[in-house]
Amino acid sequence: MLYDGSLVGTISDLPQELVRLSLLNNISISGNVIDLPRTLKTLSLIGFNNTVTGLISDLLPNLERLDLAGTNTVTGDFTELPKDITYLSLSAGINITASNTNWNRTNLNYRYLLIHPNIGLTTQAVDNILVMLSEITNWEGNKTVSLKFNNQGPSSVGLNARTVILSNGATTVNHN
Amino acid sequence: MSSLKVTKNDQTPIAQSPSISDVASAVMAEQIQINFNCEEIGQQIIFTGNGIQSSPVPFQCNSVGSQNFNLRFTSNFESNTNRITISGFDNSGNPNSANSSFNLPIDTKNPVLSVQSTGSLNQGGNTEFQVLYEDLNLPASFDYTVTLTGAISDAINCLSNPCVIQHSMVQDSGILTLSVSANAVTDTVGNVSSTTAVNFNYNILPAPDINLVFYVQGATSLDLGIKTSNGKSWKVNWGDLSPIETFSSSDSLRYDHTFLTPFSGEISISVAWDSEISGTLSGLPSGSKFIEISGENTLSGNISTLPTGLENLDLSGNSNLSGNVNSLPAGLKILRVLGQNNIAGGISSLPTSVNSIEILGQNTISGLISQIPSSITEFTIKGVNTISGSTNDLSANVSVFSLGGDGSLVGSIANLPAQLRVLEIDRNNNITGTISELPSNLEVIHFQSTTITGNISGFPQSLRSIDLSGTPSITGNFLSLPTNLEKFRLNLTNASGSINSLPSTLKEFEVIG
Repeated sequence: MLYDGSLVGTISDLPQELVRLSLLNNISISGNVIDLPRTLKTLSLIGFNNTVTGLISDLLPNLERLDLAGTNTVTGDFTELPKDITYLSLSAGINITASNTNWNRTNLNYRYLLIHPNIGLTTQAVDNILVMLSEITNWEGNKTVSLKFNNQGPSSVGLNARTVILSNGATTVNHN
Repeated sequence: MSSLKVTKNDQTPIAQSPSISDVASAVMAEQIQINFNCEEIGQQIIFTGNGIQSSPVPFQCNSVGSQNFNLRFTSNFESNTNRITISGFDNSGNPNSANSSFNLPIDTKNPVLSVQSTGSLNQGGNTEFQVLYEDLNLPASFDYTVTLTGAISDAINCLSNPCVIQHSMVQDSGILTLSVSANAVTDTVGNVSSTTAVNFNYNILPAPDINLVFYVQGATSLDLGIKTSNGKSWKVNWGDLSPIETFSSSDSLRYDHTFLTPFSGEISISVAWDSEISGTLSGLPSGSKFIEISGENTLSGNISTLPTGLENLDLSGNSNLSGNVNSLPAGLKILRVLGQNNIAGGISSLPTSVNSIEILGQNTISGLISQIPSSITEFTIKGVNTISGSTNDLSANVSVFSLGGDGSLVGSIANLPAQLRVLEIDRNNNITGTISELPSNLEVIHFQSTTITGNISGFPQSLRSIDLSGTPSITGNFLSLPTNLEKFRLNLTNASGSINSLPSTLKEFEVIG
């Protein structure tokens, strides 16, 4: 069965009390993430017609779940992500780095992390993310980490961190 | 006669220049660098205009070619533009043929500070404040401190604009002061936001106590004991005009009260908002007709131990009750138990006196819709129940029907009770129809799996929540959604529309497919 519904528009026109926005497939959302409603806790925009732009550092501090896939140009560093995120899925159109391991995170819960950017993460960046995730002590839900696609593989530092992540409760940690 | 040529950079606002404090008359002066050409040695240049510190200011060329000159303005120069006229004389005293004039843009405006509360201002709530500086020439980076005193004690180092300050579960009530530090922001032309700290006061409203209310009939005495999670004391109003008493938290001590005459009425207990109450049903006062406990309590026990004369049981929080519905008090009218309960039994065993029932958790109740007592108007049972029947069998009195679990629910939407406000079915069902046939007063519709069809414009305008999974076939434009809709979740839709046509009240919006 074919479904041909669609949704178009810009982020700045979203209802301002929105807490959860989850849109999949036939959507064409544009705009800058800085214009997202401040109440938003879940943002899931998956569709290759999306043209969302902006900086990771401009994402809302109270965001708990973030899925972005499409023709987006959202850029920034992993350490700039909102501190309460427990579900993160970034692919297609995300240019993310991980320049250090100083993520200053107080929320030690996590559910899912997938980073498959167009420009693959370096070994150092993969190591840094794995080291930061090794601080997570409470894995819930999917309990999965995926740093495959065109990312580089981890070094021994990252592999050691991967062991810690698994011992802390994650069930799957994939990498190249 | 010489001609005067003057060039200037009037695109850049004049910089304030604290370094010229040696100028006697200036508390703070404005300064601009002007560039012009001297065409002969000895040529004199004169600057005139409002606010020039010393006017006219003669400048004498001592070389030919491009020259720079710093022109200073008085501190009380406040207009946004200033017209400067430049004239000159050659070394023989002949005036230039034409003066040169231009306007200087002056930015003397300090960065403007505003603080907005965008969160809760209630004790126990989640506060959020946005500290915002606005100016034409804000700096690229920020680094200042906001100090919170009173209901919250904290110091935030603000590195962005706006600076968002959040606190969850605010512990104290009363005045909260946000103090933004002095000299917090200097704009790119030197204007300072404020040389003293700026305070903003908010009132954090106290959270209401958690209330436990018992209604007893003909009681001659009562003993009570309460253990609060944080050890805080609790207060009792015995309802018989005796003084309100305050007791300590204890898991062993009980406090007796003797009524002078047999007492019928409410006994109310209050504990602090951040306390949690635990205990078993058997510890509830016997003889109670009405028990209501708000807050995050954790009561457990078998429902067979409830007071036999109970008519109303309302437990918020996270209760963990067990037992069979056939042991509920015979005269029960209202049963509301939130949490993770495990109650079993057949629908036909429910007391026939029940008007409203709401049991959350992993319950295993079975039976037919037609066996629901006709006295019931609100029916909510979550869990893994197996309740079957047709929409034809729902009593016309039912306004809330919310069911979790499997079963075989069939029938047409057109046969639902006309006064239905809430329709929630968590598991598979085979209820069919078009959305235009939904009851006109419906506020909530949630089908975990459905094949209903129709155009968005057919949804009743009363709807606040639409959640349809499965394979519904919904068409139309989001423009026609109910105007007060707060939740919209649709799986596999043919509906289309634009973001700017969504209801402004929407809090959740999820469309898949």
